[in-house]
Amino acid sequence: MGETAQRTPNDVVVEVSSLVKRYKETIALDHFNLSIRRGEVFGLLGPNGSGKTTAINCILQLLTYDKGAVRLFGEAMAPTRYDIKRRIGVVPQNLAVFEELTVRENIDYFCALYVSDKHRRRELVDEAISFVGLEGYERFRPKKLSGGLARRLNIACGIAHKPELIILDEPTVAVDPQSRNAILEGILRLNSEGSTIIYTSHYMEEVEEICSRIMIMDKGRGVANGTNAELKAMIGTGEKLRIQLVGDTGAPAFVAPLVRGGADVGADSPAEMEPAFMARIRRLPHTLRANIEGDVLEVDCAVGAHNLADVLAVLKEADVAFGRIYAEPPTLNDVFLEITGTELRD
Amino acid sequence: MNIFKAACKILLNNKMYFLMYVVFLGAIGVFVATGNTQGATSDEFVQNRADVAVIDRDGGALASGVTEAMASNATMVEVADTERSLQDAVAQGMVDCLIIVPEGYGETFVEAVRAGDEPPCVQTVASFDNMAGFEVENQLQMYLSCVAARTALSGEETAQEALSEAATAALDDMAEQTTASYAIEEGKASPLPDDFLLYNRWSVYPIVCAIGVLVTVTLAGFNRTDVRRRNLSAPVSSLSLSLGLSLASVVCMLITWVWFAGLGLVAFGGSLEGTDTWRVVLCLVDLFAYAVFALAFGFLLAQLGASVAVANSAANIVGLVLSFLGGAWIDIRLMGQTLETVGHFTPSYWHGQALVSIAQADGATWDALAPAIADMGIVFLFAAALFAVALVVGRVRLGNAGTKERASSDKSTPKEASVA
Repeated sequence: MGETAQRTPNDVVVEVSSLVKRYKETIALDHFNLSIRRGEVFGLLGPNGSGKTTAINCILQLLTYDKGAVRLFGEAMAPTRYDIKRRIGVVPQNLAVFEELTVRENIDYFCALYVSDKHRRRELVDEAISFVGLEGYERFRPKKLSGGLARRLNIACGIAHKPELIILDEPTVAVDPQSRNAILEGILRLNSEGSTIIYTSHYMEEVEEICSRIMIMDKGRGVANGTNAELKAMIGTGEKLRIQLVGDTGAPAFVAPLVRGGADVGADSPAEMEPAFMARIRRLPHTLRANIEGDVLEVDCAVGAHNLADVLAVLKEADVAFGRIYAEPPTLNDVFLEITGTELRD
Repeated sequence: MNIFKAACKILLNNKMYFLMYVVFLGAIGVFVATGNTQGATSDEFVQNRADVAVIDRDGGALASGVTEAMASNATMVEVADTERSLQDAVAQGMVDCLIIVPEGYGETFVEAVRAGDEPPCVQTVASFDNMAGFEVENQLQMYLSCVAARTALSGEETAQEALSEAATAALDDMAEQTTASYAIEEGKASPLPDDFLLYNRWSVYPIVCAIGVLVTVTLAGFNRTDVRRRNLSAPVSSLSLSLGLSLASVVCMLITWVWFAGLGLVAFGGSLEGTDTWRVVLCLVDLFAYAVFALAFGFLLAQLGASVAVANSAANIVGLVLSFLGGAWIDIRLMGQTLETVGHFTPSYWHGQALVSIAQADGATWDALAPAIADMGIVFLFAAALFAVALVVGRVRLGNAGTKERASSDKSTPKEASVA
């Protein structure tokens, strides 16, 4: 992939500066900035309506924008910059193929929009079919393919011409886990062969899994940008302890409010309904939040702190029996939650 | 070129629609035209003979004259003069018209005529199955009027002699009138065979269906949001994309037109022998003009984003309405002034008018052909108007889609890069 790659001075493939896009009163992109370097798998993460697809459409010049600039491969992008478009591959979210054409005809059609030489195209189509594992299905019509295979066809149509920059818009929506894994592996292979990838999704696990750099979008703005580790380092949470409580703790299944630094439970909370040990756990030096969710005690700790022993000591003193204990690092959802104050999947 | 090829592949992959609308309906058109005009050509006239029974209770010269007058234009049927037989004859459709000449009718007739009164009526019962019985009643009245006139002019003393002379003379009068009316019909004979004309008129319906549905189905794939997005992301201009699709649509139109034109020439080749070539060519041009209109209709459906089911329904309904208002099934002049006026606002009407103008043209001169060319021009204008409407609809629809989709799901449709 990326056989016609040209090195730009600073190796930046995509550069978006202060992009503003309005739909009447709604601001879809609010001074949006983006910089993607060659060879990255760049994840655009955000809930539905956060502006991911609008940003992609503006980058591809499928939409006009009110303000800002888009540069691809170091050059200003315009709707008629066919030389730049030739170096890009697009995989839309929905199946964008022709029902009346076979798998091979579909890939050949979209490849032919970029490559006019027939012989070269035949090789490329064969390679694309092989790449996505659609051998044996060449003569099938899309309707005859399973959902996962149809998704692979959708991807093959976007990558057959070996683009340097591949834009994948939520390619795993409504895909079974097996096909999803195959698609993610394929994306990593494309990247290892030299393509720069822009991957939009609202599935944080996928983005964490494959993206070398991630931008979290919310309300048309990039609210955080960095590697997976950098993003998680932006927030205070370093470790999340989960302890299964056994026996009668006297704790009703309710979620306590967000409490920082071991402060007391808020005035609205029915503190008297909580077991007594919860207040002691909250007063531990590194505790950020502590709740009981069902029969699981959830304790979020500050970065660098390891106060599992302290928490367990409190439980022992309170004579609370416990079963499974595990600790997990924060997720991108925690990052999103802490930065925007809302859940990523809202 | 690649876009054109892909669109053609999509078009040709819709074999079912080709079979249904082009091949099958084309064949139906041939059967309809052949069946409705069987035995009738421009050169001969075959009279439809009604079945008539005359019950003669008078036994005089007038009753014999009535029987003879009816026999010249109808097939006489023997019916017994009993109440049951007379009822059965009409009820079971054995006769189209039953005429009963009552006893003493001749004498009463002469007395009334000589007194200057209205002559008495003959009892008749006409079948409601068709119009033939009423036509027989008209002929009977005509004959009796002739007899009445002749009787009034007769110098004979006795009623029997006067009736005998008048009845015979009236028969001659009827024969002369019949010969004269045939002569007028022969003078008006069309130089284009009726079956070929009817086939061309009937093709209005299948052509709208075939081209409308096939063009919509072909363009619909390219108009889907994500396919359009993918196409416009590629290094291909909107113009070349639109050109490729337009060419494929024209191919669809040409295939359909060639099929219907070819089928007409092959099926009615025998009838067309001896017909002026320029008349046949003009008929095909007229059909072509109508096919261009159908292309515009298909384009409009595609721009409206019609689904396959909607395209089928719309094409069939519009096709049927247009063929009805165009006079494909019933002469529009028989359907009343209102419908005829409405018909003026349909291309099918002008398509039919062009066929009539071609048939009535005296020769291949500009003056003679001007009406036909004008009619065809109107059909082309209808097509141009519909194309313009389709372009506007497409523009508005794609614009709206962009805003609406953004509001609902963050999926934006390019406003400025719509595929025409």
